[in-house]
Amino acid sequence: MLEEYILLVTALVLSLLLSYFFTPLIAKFMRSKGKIGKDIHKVDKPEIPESVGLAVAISILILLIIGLFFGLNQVIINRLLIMIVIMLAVTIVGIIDDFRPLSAILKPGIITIISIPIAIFQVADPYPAIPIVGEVRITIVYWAIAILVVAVTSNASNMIDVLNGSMSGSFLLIAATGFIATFIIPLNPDSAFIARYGSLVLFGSLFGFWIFNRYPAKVFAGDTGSLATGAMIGLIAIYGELEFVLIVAMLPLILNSFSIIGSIGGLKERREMRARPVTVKDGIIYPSEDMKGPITLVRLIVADGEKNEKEIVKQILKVVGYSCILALISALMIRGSLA
Amino acid sequence: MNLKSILNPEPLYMVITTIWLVLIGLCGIIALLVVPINYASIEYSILVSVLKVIAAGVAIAIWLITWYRFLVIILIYKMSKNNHLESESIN
Repeated sequence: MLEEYILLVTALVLSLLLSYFFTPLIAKFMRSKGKIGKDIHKVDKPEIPESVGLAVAISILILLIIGLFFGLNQVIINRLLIMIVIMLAVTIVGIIDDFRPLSAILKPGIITIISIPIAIFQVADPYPAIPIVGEVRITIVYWAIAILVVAVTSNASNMIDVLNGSMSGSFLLIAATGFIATFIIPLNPDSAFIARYGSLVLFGSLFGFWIFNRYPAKVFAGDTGSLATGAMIGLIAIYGELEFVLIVAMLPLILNSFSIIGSIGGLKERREMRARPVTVKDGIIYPSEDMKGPITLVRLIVADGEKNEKEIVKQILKVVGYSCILALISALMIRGSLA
Repeated sequence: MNLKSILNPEPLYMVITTIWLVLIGLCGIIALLVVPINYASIEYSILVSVLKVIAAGVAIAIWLITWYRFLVIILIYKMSKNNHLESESIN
């Protein structure tokens, strides 16, 4: 037990240091390659290096590989191996998307295909626990849903990455919620280890990155960072048996992505959208009056009055924090139903 | 958190709370109506399994549609409170 806690603390510290070390290096590299974008929400529109979220993905991958050597048993090693393969593939998709944009349909489609090993190797427990009911036996349907989970969470992460620190800050809260939930829900030891290790690695990696990505951002995550972060949460949900808790914690993000898809009538790239959700003038964000524009979380927040970027990010994090509290209440309800 | 924010909470909290309660309610419905169906006593267990999955799928679809409609209402409500937009549309 003590050995496990030492490993967890080491993973947290190491992932934070790796991410903190890699972020400025990758930012410098991206700037030298001309991979920069304008921060349009600022008055002076500064040029910021993009795709620096690669630091988060690298840090997670290194820690997952290290985890293999400390894997307590074969089940944990098998789960970590699948997580490494999927994370690596999603990171490559993110890099390709950052340099040669993929279509809005192709991206989640590829990630779904990448997730097929989850269903092929079946090393997760297909008995998700939900409040009131307890464990649900869905041994066949579970695998069909599981291969969609990574695509849904990575897409939700991608769509919330619109303001300084909105994605990294939100997932810091969600990762912390996942970690706390493992002490509430009675999980089997293998799932508890994966959930704790995965949550702490994600938390540490994101924290090292968030220091540079928070308002006013010095780096942008790009699709590389947002897709990898979302994929990692999806994998923690499946292999850490935290499906329901993490769905509730991610409600505002899922709400954001589904309402965008619903309001524009399917998956579309930004350039294909006829109306924008918000307009920016002198660093202030105004809601679009066009009802055909996508209904995003940011648009909903500014709908009753224009705000600056910092205020909106603060509001997003408050809403995510609130859903994380609901997630922990759900965890208590699951505990009650399993007793 | 000041008194003003407590008395006039952000409608998004209400949306998330409602969505969460509906989700918990769905779990309750599953517990009451779906779980008690006993496989051993039913001849067509595969058919029952498929029907259960279809029922769950329909419930999730209704949940998502309700959610989206709710957001549209919140957006219209919040925009109606925005004096800036009102004055612009009048002008």
